[in-house]
Amino acid sequence: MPRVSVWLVRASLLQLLSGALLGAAYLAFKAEGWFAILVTHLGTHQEQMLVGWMVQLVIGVAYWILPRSDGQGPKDSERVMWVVFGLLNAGVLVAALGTDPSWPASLLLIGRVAETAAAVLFARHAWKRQRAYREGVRTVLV
Amino acid sequence: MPTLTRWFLRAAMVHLVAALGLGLVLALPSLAAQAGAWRPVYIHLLVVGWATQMIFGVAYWMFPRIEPLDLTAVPWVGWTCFWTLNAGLVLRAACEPVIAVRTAPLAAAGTTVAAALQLIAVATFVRLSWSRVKTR
Repeated sequence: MPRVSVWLVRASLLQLLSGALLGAAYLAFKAEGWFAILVTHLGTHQEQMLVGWMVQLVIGVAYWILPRSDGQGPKDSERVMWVVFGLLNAGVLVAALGTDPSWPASLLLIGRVAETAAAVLFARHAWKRQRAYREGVRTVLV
Repeated sequence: MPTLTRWFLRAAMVHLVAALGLGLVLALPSLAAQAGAWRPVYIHLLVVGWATQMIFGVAYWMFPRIEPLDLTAVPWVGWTCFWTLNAGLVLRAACEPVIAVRTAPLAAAGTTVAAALQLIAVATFVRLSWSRVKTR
């Protein structure tokens, strides 16, 4: 597994754990009124579970398993993917802060811009890695 | 495909059908007033029961292994993850809509236990997967 995939997948596991902690605390608040201090973090839970966990895991695994393009060296694409990693995690953190009423709401927009930029960079990279079977290859798909 | 993966994937499909069935029921105009109480259950059946559980199953199968898969061994951590995730989701589906509309101590306790079970499931999955995510 490429190093950047390891970081993306492990970061997604940490986002999953952190998001699940907040989700469990929120559910306990709904049931028993515990952890009232975490009520304003519902947006953080949603941001971490959808973008931090699912999107990041898929990006990490896709970079690992999609067929390699001939035109782009692994070093070049790895550099782009480190930028994706940084933008995505910074985006989740900043957007999560933006969902908390005690922080400026503009942070949500800034975080989402970073997440979208990460998605565009990843899509641009992964686009070139979708390839048909070569002509003449005899393949039977069952 | 390991037995645990098959259980994860089949349970994921059950949750998918249950989630979409619930979504269909909640869309009925006669149930519009109750839909709010059931919405978190619908979302979690879909996102946790279906998508996350599918990921857990496939990751357990496909992530690089430190040691070859021993089909005779019982992966206790993996089964703990499976049962806590599914018991937590079912318990949540049974209790959370109740506490959304009225005070019910038993349902509240059930919801709290469901929260703990789902958290245990996630923690066990992270423990199971962390060391398998590595460079060659």
